[in-house]
Amino acid sequence: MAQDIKLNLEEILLDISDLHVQYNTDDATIFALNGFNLQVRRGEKLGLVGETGAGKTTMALSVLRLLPDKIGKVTAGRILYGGDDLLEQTEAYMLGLRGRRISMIFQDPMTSLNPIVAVGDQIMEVLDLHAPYMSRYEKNERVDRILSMVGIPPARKMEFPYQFSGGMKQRIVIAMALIAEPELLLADEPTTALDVTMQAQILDMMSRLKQEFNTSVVLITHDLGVVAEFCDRVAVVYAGKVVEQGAVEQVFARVRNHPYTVGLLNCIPDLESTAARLIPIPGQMADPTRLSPGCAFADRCVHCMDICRRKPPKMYEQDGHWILCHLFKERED
Amino acid sequence: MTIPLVETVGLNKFFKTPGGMLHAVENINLKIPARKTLGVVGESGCGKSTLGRAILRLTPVTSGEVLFEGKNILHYSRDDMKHMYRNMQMIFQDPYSALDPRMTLYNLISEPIRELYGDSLCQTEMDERVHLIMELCGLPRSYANSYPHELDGGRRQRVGLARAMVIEPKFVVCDEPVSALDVSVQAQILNLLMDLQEQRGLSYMFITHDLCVVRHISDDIMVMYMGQAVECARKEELFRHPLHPYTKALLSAIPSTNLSRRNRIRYMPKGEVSSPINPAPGCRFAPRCPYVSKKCKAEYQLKEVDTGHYVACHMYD
Ligand SMILES: Nc1ncnc2c1ncn2[C@@H]1O[C@H](COP(=O)(O)OP(=O)(O)OP(=O)(O)O)[C@@H](O)[C@H]1O
Ligand SMILES: Nc1ncnc2c1ncn2[C@@H]1O[C@H](COP(=O)(O)OP(=O)(O)OP(=O)(O)O)[C@@H](O)[C@H]1O
Ligand SMILES: [Mg+2]
Ligand SMILES: [Mg+2]
Repeated sequence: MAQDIKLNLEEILLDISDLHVQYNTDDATIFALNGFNLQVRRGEKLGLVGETGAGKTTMALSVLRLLPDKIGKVTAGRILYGGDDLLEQTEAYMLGLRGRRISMIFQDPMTSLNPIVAVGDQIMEVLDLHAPYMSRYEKNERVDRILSMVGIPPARKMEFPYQFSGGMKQRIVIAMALIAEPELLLADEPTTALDVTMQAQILDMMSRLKQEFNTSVVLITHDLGVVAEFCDRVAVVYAGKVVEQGAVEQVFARVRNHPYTVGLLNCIPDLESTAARLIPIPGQMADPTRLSPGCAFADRCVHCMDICRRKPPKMYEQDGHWILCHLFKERED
Repeated sequence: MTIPLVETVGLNKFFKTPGGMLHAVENINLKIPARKTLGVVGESGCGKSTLGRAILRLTPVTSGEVLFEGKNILHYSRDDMKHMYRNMQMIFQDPYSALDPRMTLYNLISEPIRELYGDSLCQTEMDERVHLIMELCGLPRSYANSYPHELDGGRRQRVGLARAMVIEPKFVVCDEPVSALDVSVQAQILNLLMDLQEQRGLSYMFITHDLCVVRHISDDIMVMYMGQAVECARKEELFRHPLHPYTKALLSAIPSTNLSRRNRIRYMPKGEVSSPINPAPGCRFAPRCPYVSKKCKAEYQLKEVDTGHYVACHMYD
């Protein structure tokens, strides 16, 4: 392929623009993504953070075209992947993409694990699909190697999912996603149940994938520390929209941030603080069945101004760090 | 010396597996005083949940003792245990699967009372207790007739909390109660747990793999590695002077949003993770430990090296 020849870091692999997705249930219409914009470059590690219900998983499912049938619907927008608009492709094309060029680590490991198949065999199935030319012997070796890499003794590969702890199941699912050596890895909270040394090891493995195969990683997580240490760039999602995006150095410098990002950074316990209680972000997540005419965060924002409830904020940008907030518009004027 | 509220002596829990005996929890000796929180941290699969479940007798114990207010509860009959559950409760790791989806919030929260007292409580009394605990746990009363699937993760975890708290226990095992939640809700739940502890004089065993959370909420911290306790100390002491090589690795790996910590020296354990099935005697961390010596493969014991600071490592003999 021509594009493989001029591989470079700046090349955009995944380009989501103005994506709108809704879920139509019996009771209501839920506006899950509302003008979602995100670019992922080749070989970059992007952290996607934001509260429960912000639309992070919906974004990943939209890319893979795995939104729940009949209920989930893309109503507008474009998802370019390596130049092709995924929303226009046939199911056959998507089948070739999923699990080979794009791997996903699902939030709940049990959705990816078959409870009645031994875990080693499940990883083997991925190889059967991904590398049918490989000999049985070689596949076995690869399965053992990836298991030890995620810290599961290969001797336990004959066991079934219920015999493993939550975090161990998660690691098995990670092994399944990594063994395919994908171009793009969508990892939805892959390390939430793991201790920090194991987490560091898994993130290391993902970095190695990047070095070897120039894999891009979208890491969905609520752990801002992980994003700060592992990712190149970060996107903060609120109510179905990316409200801040920039290089890790820009966002975590804490010089200029979206008020929501500030709230997120303030409510995590850190290693130096001696405060007796934490400071949660006030209020509740915006109601996803109602679209606000202004900024969705307005009701919870300590800096909320009149205009915030009326008009959607425009993008404020500086050196590739951009923020959707009226606050900065005002200051620049 | 006062008697700790909860104590374990040589607690073992093994599982039979196709490959042999799996040592999920091995020789755990811990003490939790009244009104205090013991944080339990360690790798996934190191036996934290199993330990919590064994203490509450939610899984049969292989050997050892579990003392509650000085009495070994492992000899209690089913009936006696039922009364013990008035004092000891658990909040589960997964707020999604721990709640029966066919029950309303009211029924879920009143169930522990009904189990304990049968129908001896009149309706008004029951209503009062349920509504009080819902309020304490930040659940609007209007939710009483909702079902768990109608709630978000944070509220579901509040239901788990309300169920554990409604019978006013003295001791609660919190098994990763916040790891499935996002940071703002996590902050709310942690604050709530600490408020309840203050108001009701509760003791917690708080299981987590998040070291920032454990530092925030605990008084003492126990670090586990593959079924064994490798270090135990007061939290300030543990964070200031970690001794066991595994603890040191853990602390150096804590991810931080502080950009200046980005280039710190990280110490990552290398090598093969050994199997907890039919394990060799000695320290489980030995195969990955840079300071391993012959002694490590033989004997293993938690020793007090400083007042209240226990470590199982031959470097400190
Ligand atoms: N199958 C579905 N049917 C109806 N609504 C849904 C469905 N899946 C998601 N939603 C709703 O869409 C919105 C976005 O959900 P999504 O799962 O993408 O959020 P998320 O950012 O991944 O959250 P979390 O951190 O909890 O995983 C939420 O309001 C959610 O309730
Ligand atoms: N029912 C079971 N049958 C066989 N083995 C089990 C069973 N339950 C747990 N184990 C094993 O016991 C060990 C400890 O598991 P446990 O669930 O206590 O770990 P954990 O520390 O809570 O892990 P996590 O942080 O992932 O929740 C693991 O090796 C696990 O595979
Ligand atoms: Mg999600
Ligand atoms: Mg557990």
